[in-house]
Amino acid sequence: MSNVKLRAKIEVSSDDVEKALVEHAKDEPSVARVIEHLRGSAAKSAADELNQALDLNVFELLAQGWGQVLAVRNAVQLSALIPGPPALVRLDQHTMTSTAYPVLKVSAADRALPELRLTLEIITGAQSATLAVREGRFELLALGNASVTARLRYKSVLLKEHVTAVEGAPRDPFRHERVASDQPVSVDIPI
Amino acid sequence: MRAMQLLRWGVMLLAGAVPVVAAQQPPLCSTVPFSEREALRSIGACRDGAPIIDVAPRTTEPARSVIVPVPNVVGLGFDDARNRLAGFSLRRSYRASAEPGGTVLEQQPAPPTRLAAGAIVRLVLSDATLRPAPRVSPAEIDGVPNPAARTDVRPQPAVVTDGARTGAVIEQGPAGAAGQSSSTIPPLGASDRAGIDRLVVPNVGGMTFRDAKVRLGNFRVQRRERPSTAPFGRVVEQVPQASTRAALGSVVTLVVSSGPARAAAPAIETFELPNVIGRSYADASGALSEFKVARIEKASDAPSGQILAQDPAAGTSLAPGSAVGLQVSDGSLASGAATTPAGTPTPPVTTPAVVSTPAATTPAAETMPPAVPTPAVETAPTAAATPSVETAPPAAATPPATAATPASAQSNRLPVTFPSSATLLLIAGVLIGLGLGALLTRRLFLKRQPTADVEPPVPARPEPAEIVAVPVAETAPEIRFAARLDVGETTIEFAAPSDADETTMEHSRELHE
Repeated sequence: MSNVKLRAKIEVSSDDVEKALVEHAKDEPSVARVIEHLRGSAAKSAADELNQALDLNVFELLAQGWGQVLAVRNAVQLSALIPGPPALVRLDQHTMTSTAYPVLKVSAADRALPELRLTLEIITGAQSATLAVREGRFELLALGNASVTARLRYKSVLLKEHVTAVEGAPRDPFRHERVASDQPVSVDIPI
Repeated sequence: MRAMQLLRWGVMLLAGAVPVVAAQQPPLCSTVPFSEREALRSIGACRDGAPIIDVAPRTTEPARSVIVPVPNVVGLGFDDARNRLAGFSLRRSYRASAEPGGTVLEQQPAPPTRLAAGAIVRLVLSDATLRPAPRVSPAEIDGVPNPAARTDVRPQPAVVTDGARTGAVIEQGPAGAAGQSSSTIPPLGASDRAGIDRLVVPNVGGMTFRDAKVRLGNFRVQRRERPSTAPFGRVVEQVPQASTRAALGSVVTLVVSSGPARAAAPAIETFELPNVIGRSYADASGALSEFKVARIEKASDAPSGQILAQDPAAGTSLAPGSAVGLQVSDGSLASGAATTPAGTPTPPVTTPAVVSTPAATTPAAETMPPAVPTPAVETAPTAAATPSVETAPPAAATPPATAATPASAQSNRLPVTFPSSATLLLIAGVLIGLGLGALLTRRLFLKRQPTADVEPPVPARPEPAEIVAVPVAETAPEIRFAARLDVGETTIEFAAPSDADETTMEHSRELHE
């Protein structure tokens, strides 16, 4: 788990931005008129803006996907109502696909040009994931072997691809070996 | 004599005081018989005073109804929204919401509507009574900080219900509508028996902020300030309002008076001079109580005490306390106006325009204090001087004895008399001298010009080739960028076939200490 790095930063360069803008200019005459002014340092500042927008936490996207699973939803709801120790939800092998749209607004001489709308795909494949849920929150996570692939495209033009492999935790990192003194505890879930 | 008149007109022209007479104006009241004067004046068929050129608007133009676009204020705080909607009338209401108190949830009409300035815009504000969705707390996994520490728990389209047992979810809000994103968890309502604590917000209006904060001990208090007539530091508004219910620990925004708004710069108050010609001196003094009145007796056939002329003319805007000269009839000529000797001298009276000229230093000026120019007039002094000079000089140019001269007879502004022909001659001489001097200077300048062209010191002109060689810098448009991230969908697929088989949930007490 010490190698887990879920905050994979996806960065674009000025070349990537120029490439996208050139494609954009093919569809938008108003962009084509100023395309020469959008190169170089302008593309660099555009890349900086985009990188700020791209500075997203992949885990937020993962949480959105896990929240769609019925068992996870139930656990979150129950834990919000019933105080107590965390509930563990184990998820088997799954793939999550998140889509986001980085949008670059460009204005030349205070005149807005058509927005450059990119597509960011983040595909996460996890062998397993164990979530500890308490008080309506994801409190802990143990992610098994996983890979995170980020693709940034403008229409069909691939601008950036970034793959992060995650050497994950064992399937149930929270399970303790039972000892003789352990007594089973009855849990009343009032639903 | 004719030469003298021409000279006077020449002086006026050189001084830039070209008479301007407003077209289509009714005749002067002083030109109609005295018996008919009041009747004509009452119906506006005659006018008093010489044409007036307003150098400052007497009244501000009424505000025209301007159609302006309604800005989008949804999501802003109420104060910001109010600032952006400054041109409109606001009506606000509150609705339970998890947004911070005072946040605009809705606006009607919504943009891009265009409304007349002053039209009503309704705002629905958040009262912050709903508890926001819980957030993931910081934690560690195997000593490594959990990246999910700040992850919001969102997805919650469904509701689990099973009877009405204590603590069971019996409703959800907003309901799982189609428009609700599947990736957001709406706040849950619980049965009253074991629901979230919701307390009545006490009324703290008028209290000091410190007292209000003590009284709102069950809530988080946010302070905002706003200029108000209320004493400094007193609560003038609270959101959510008093007597509404709010969750324990939720935010209550208190708007505290920051004292009265900074006083605007004092407006310069001016009064429009009423027309008092024809009225008695007592009436006129009453009507001109805001001004300093200077009385000048004049032999006239009008009844004694009647105002013959006023200076400045009616309609002029003057600051309070300004001097106003009234020419009052002494009635001495009431019976023998026709026998008035042609050479009877009229006491010279100065007008404001004359006051500003050296002629103001004549002894006659002492009889009537010069009118203090209004602030507006001060801003355009040349224009201010224009009307008086335009109208007065004809009267001044013609001696009062020449009553047949229409300009003199018609003008009921005080006649301007030049002190003597010698002064006129002096001024004319000076002006002619100046003109001749200017002509001589110009001739000298023109004579030097060709010699300068002959001289070699030619300014270094860039060679045409150089001009071609230097590239013209193209003005690059200012490019600006801004980026945002629109979050799309997230889908999850399991390798295992069914939802029930792919996940298992165990309560940790079964497995852990």
